[in-house]
Amino acid sequence: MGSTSTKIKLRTSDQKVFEVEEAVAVQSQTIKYFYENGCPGSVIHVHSVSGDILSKILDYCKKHVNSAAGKEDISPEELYEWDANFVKVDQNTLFDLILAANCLKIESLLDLTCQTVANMIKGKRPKEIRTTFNIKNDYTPEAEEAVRRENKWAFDMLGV
Amino acid sequence: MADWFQLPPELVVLVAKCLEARFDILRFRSVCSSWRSSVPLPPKLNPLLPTNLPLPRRGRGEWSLSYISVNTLYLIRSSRANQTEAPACWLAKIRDATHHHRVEMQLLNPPWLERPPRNFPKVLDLTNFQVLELGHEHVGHYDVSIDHPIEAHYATYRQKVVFLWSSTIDSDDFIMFSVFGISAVLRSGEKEWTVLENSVSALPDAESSWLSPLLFLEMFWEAGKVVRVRVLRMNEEEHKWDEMDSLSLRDRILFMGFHEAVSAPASEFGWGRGNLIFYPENLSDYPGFGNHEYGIWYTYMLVFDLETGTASRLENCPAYRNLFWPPPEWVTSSTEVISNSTHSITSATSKSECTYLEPDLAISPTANTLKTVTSSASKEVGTEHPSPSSKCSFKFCFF
Repeated sequence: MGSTSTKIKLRTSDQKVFEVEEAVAVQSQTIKYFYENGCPGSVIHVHSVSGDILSKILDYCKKHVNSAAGKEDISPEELYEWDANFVKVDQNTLFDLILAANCLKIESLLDLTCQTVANMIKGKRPKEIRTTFNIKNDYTPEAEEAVRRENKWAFDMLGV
Repeated sequence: MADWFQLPPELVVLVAKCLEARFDILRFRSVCSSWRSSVPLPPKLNPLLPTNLPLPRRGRGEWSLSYISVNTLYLIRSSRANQTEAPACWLAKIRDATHHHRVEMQLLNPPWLERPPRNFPKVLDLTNFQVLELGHEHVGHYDVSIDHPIEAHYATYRQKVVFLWSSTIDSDDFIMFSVFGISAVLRSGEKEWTVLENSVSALPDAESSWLSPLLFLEMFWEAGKVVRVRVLRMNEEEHKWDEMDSLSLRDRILFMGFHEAVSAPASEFGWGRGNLIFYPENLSDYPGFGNHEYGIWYTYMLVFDLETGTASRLENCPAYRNLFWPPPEWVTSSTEVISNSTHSITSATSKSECTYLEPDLAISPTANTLKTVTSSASKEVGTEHPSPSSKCSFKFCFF
């Protein structure tokens, strides 16, 4: 059944070519647009995405397409679990996944990856967030003071 | 190593939108200048809400809703040099500054004190602490003026209101329920409260930053002590309550108060266990109308261990002794202490304040009957008024 479906050819930034089922590839709104508006059978260039990342992203799209189409018997909880494992990756990969999901316009993957980053921030001190994401504190002394104020609780001791 | 500093601003905004807690957004803005400029300052937790609740006159009393305050339960953690060591924890209940009455931020710790003690630091610097929002409580502040031939009398009463956010993502819609003489609802965007014809006498404690499933906690009291606890969980598919076994809360810790029921993931506390319920000693013992206590409602905290089925006073548990009050030394030593001589804890206004401890919850006087309950607060959730000898109380919370 699957073998008869239309395939779309994608070429990545490192010149790798993927042949992908139409239903899987058009999970990306960007690819869908080029597929519907380009010449039939032509290769779509995904300039900003490497082969490794595209391969991962296609796994994600395939899982979700199969699940939605009922081709795979997977409960919403199991799919949630699958998603959680999918984003258990090193930071470089996570960063590339976010950029690629944004560029390819795959909304659910963008939500998933952004939520993953947000979960890494929750509860943490600013210094810990900077260490986690390798970000330099670039505040001017004035801005630093404003930041410090926001990290303080000033209590009213009189009440009403 | 990925250069997160290069994350495009539109993606920085998307990440920030995934942060639900206001304090996490403040932290996010504290990381670097580009993140700060991409994400606006989150609004204060106390929105201006309509107060035109048409309350019926009772005897000589004229009642009015003054304002609704939002209190937040925070978990403050010390950061340890050694990552393997469990962090030290402190719980602070904070009322954010309100637009009404120009109230500044207030510390409502411990839960039974309505004023911070006089020696508490005026400014708490959180830069070096981890801060997690565990949940919110919404409290209606009601004014009453009693027409008396000699001298008019004014008082403020507090009672919880139930606040429910829309479950739809990206929606700020909410619905709020108030039961104070009448039952009324307020939907976001509306300018007036709607009075419900089918009166509800008690409200579920359905508020938390942690989403579903809905939990139902039944505490059995005997001679002022909790002797047994039963936990039910809402089976959303079948719309019924399922009883949970003794280890049902092994990854959860519950906090019960007069106005809130908050459930938190046990992993955040680093105690290596859950199955704990913290509550004030007099949770089930509140005065009814016309029998309210004036001044500070003083009590102590207890912890119920579901594994052993026993309750202990916090002061007898070294692990949790400083969870509420007095705050641990690592909190007070890192802050700017202001001399206590200039601060008074007595009320500066002419209003007399009384803490009206309305049952937030449906409470049944019989220990063995489980009342029909529903997750919808607009329906009847329990109508019987408790008797002073009531042996069990029903509670709700989100998980």
